[in-house]
Amino acid sequence: MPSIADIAASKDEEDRLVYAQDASGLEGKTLTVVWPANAAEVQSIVKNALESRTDIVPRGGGTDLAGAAVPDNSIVLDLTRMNKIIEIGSDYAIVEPGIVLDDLNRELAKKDLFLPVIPSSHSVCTIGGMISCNAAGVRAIKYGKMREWVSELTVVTGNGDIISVSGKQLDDFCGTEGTAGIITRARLRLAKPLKRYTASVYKLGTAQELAERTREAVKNDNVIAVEYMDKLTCKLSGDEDAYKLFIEYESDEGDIKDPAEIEKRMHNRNIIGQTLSSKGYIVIEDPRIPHEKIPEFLEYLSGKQIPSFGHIGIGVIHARLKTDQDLEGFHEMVQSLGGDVSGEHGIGLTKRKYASSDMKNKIAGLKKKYDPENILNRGKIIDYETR
Amino acid sequence: MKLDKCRSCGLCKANCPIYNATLRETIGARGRAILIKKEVLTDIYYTCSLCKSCDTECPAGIELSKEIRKMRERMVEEGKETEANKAMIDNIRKYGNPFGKIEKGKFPDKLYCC
Ligand SMILES: Cc1cc2nc3c(=O)[nH]c(=O)nc-3n(C[C@H](O)[C@H](O)[C@H](O)COP(=O)(O)OP(=O)(O)OC[C@H]3O[C@@H](n4cnc5c(N)ncnc54)[C@H](O)[C@@H]3O)c2cc1C
Ligand code: SF4
Ligand code: SF4
Repeated sequence: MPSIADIAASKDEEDRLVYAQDASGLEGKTLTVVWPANAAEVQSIVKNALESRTDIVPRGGGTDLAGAAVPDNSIVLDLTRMNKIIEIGSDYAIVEPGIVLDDLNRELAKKDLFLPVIPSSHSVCTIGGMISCNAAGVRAIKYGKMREWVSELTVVTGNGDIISVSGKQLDDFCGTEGTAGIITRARLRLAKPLKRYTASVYKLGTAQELAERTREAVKNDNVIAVEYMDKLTCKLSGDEDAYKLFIEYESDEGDIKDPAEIEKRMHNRNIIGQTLSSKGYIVIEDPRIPHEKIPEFLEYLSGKQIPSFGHIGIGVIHARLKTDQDLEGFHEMVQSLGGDVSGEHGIGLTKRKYASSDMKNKIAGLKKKYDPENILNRGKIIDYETR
Repeated sequence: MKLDKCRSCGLCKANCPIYNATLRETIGARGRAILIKKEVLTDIYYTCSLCKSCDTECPAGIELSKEIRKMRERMVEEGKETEANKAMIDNIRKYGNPFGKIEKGKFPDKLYCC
């Protein structure tokens, strides 16, 4: 096993400050930053941390929006130097966890393949982070979430064991935010790039009309993305006062035929969140709302002056609040409509209070099985008592 | 636009050449943004090439490269710039180039960079 002294690490003040944050706006405390080069080094770090029961926070691109990569007197394990592509097959790739999604897709494009789950953070988020958050992208109607594209993982558990995982056991590590193990290798399923796609943009006057158009769209097998912006978001981005619905088709049905124009609109869609942040709407929420309740939820949001946008086709609503807006009331509304607190970004620290009991029980079970000393991402999703 | 609009989203590091060469967040674009917000005076600002790639990536419209420059100016004002930087400035003043006295046909002893 590699000696701890030989693994790249830093206790510099600047490193500790920078790695104390992710994209959630929260800030914690870093003890040391380490940059492992392979699974054996990860295993050494875990075994060493077990002796002192020091918390380890695995980190990829650090784009988590719920504070799941924020340390709390922890070792931050930066996995971005484990970024090799090990193999590309006819319909799969085997990669290290630190590879950035865009870098992987650039290589895959040379073989007419791609990983089709594309979060808006695609230029910087890593495969390990995407698996751990079970990320989704705008084309989730067609391609689903990251879990569906993972067929095998190598993981270092909180016990310091290196295990190979497939089948149902993958659920223990996909979407569990680094609380059960550190992913050191992934075998991914891949798709063929879309050959042709078109899009249409609709301006609608009411939330009811928006929901109806969405319901119709998701019944169409050619539809691959249904995105919306509410009236307040349009206004805040300098656009007109209407609900806007963006529908993408894997056919010629849409009015916009030029792929470059579609990509441009997609890019503008991807940066809405930051536009809202820069206007003071910095509390990031991403509930999943049952389709039939969406109009009621959108009316509620507009009554409260809470801007929203998102993957309406799969019921994921990105709502943005200011810090003085009623977050408690917002979550009560989500729950009263039978929604999930997070459809995409995960629970981390910011949504712990609202995590479902199913999720909490699941993590407690995983801790018992893989991380009984609770040294992996301690305090994320649940507070787990070791004794 | 000032850094108070920065939400540490990290998109600015996507094409930061220094980040991509080192994979150390602290000396990449977002790392610098975080250190500036915390008003940390550090040599790290001198590891930026001022290429402005971060400016083009930032969805909040922040011109990070300008803020990095300002921090360098502050380092100079407070006498905290790097020794290499001091030597370069002295040489430019004395000899009109950053390397110092250059004799015909000879290479300078040191090729300073900041
Ligand atoms: C501008 C912006 C846009 C976004 N858009 C989307 C979107 O469209 N869809 C979406 O789903 N999300 C989105 N997100 C949230 C986030 O980018 C994604 O969840 C992404 O998948 C996180 O990847 P990362 O590499 O940055 O992970 P990090 O932020 O580094 O980590 C995320 C979590 O994964 C864990 N982790 C990281 N690597 C490993 C590993 N190798 N093993 C075990 N655990 C690990 C961390 O401990 C943490 O719990 C967005 C974020 C930003 C800032
Ligand atoms: S892209 Fe802009 S908002 Fe995001 S971290 Fe960089 S400077 Fe801050
Ligand atoms: S200007 Fe500096 S911080 Fe910005 S991308 Fe270029 S090297 Fe990186």
